[in-house]
Amino acid sequence: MSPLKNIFTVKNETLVEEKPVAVEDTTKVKLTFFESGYGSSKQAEGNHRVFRTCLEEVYMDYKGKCRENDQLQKELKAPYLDEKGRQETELKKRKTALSLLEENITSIEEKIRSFKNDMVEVKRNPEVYGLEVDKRPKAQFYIGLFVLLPITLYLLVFYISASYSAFFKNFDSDKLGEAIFDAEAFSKALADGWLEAVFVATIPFAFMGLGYLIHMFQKQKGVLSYVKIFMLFAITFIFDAILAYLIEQKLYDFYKTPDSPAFDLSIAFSSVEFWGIIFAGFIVYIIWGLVFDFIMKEYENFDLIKSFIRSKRQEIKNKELELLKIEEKLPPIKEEISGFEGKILDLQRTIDGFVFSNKHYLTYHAEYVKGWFLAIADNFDAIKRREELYKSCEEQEKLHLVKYNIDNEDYEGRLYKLVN
Amino acid sequence: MISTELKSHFLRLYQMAFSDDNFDVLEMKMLYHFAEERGVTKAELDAILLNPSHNSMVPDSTEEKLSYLYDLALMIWADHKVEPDELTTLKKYCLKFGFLEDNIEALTAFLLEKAKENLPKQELMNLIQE
Repeated sequence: MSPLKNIFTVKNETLVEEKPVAVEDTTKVKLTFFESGYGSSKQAEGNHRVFRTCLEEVYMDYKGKCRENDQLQKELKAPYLDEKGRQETELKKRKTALSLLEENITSIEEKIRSFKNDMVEVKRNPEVYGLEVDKRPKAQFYIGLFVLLPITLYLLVFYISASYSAFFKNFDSDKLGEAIFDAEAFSKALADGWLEAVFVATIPFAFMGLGYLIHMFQKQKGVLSYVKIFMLFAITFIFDAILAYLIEQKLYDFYKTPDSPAFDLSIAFSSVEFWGIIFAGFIVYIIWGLVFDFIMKEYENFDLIKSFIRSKRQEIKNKELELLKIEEKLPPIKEEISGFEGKILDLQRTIDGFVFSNKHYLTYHAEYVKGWFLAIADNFDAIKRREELYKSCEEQEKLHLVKYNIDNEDYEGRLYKLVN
Repeated sequence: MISTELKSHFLRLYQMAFSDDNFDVLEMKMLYHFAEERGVTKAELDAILLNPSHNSMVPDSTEEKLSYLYDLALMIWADHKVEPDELTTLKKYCLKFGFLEDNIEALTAFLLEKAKENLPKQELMNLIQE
């Protein structure tokens, strides 16, 4: 055989045939019981009291033999041993399942602990968790907000006034100083009609909306977002220029003489007021946009930590739910384990004890009774006396079978368990 | 990638180990994780853990026994390393399958070596029959 082939050699599994144990010849034993029954009956003259004692003796004698007969015990116990093996397999499975669940629980609890720790630690060392956060985001945010609020107020006032002047105001000589800024713009617009008031009051929000859009587009990377930002700046500038042009035109028309040329763009561009209006509006609008963008970024900064904590809290919640589900699985498995352990213990007691075979006993018992009754038939000629003896002995036999619970033919074997 | 045949062979081996006193609960736990890491689903493994056993007899022929053991060796090599626990398990299965105790070292070494080379099973069988 090659060395390679040699390693594939399997143990010789052919079981050594167990030498047939000298099993007592059943017929011989049966005959012995028959003879013993016959002899005892003859000696006792079929007395039912003696019969009762004899049956007890036969039962005890057989019980003793049954216990000592290893071969028979091995055969009778085989199903219990098989069953014990099966129960042990199931027990090992459930123990493995339980152990896996407990391992799972420990790991989830560990994770929950680590999430809770992260929630505390992230405030101290946000960079450990990959969060690029300014150490003092709150101060910068509030400073920005402090600056933004007056600028917003300024934009509101400026655009209400400028749009009123551009679209609705009639210039008269007394109020030329208010051409650009009119302190009563809103109340005048309100006096002219509520639609006019709504118009002038909402125009500033259109500008702020454009500022907000610029901030949002800045978040998106790519050329397209820059193009959009540029377009938004251009539109705002054009809109501002239109306002300035309209105001400047109204001023020009008020001051013009019969030989003044008609108002046009070149006249508007060369006017100081025209540029004054644009700068008072557009430049402040840009400043507003930048400050707004800055405070939004600061807000997101400390929102990063908050959202980190929020996500960790959610993860903890999910893990706790998972834990609950696993913990629900534990009691049935534990119950099964104790059930299997109980069964195994019970089977072990049976295996350690001995099995009394009713079936076998009844065979010998019947032989003994047969011998006893036959002796009565042989020794008593008087039919009446014979019948009396039969009757009383039958009663004794019945009582004996009931006493040892072997009157039921379905009952295969009686278990004598080891009791500590 | 672990094939379906490999998985089913493993599940049968796993089932067998439960009725073997040589495999304790810790080892069964290790094998559970071993299979899980190699793509055997939790549901398949839990079905074994929580359902009554079907009779999983040791294969009869030497070829079939080696086929099972070789599949286990392939699964061991799936993560490109052999842990001592995995080697012990393979040896226990060799013993369970009735191979001679003196040959266990050589047999496991042979199976793992061929599994490392990823030798097709048919070629392994040819090698055995040479």
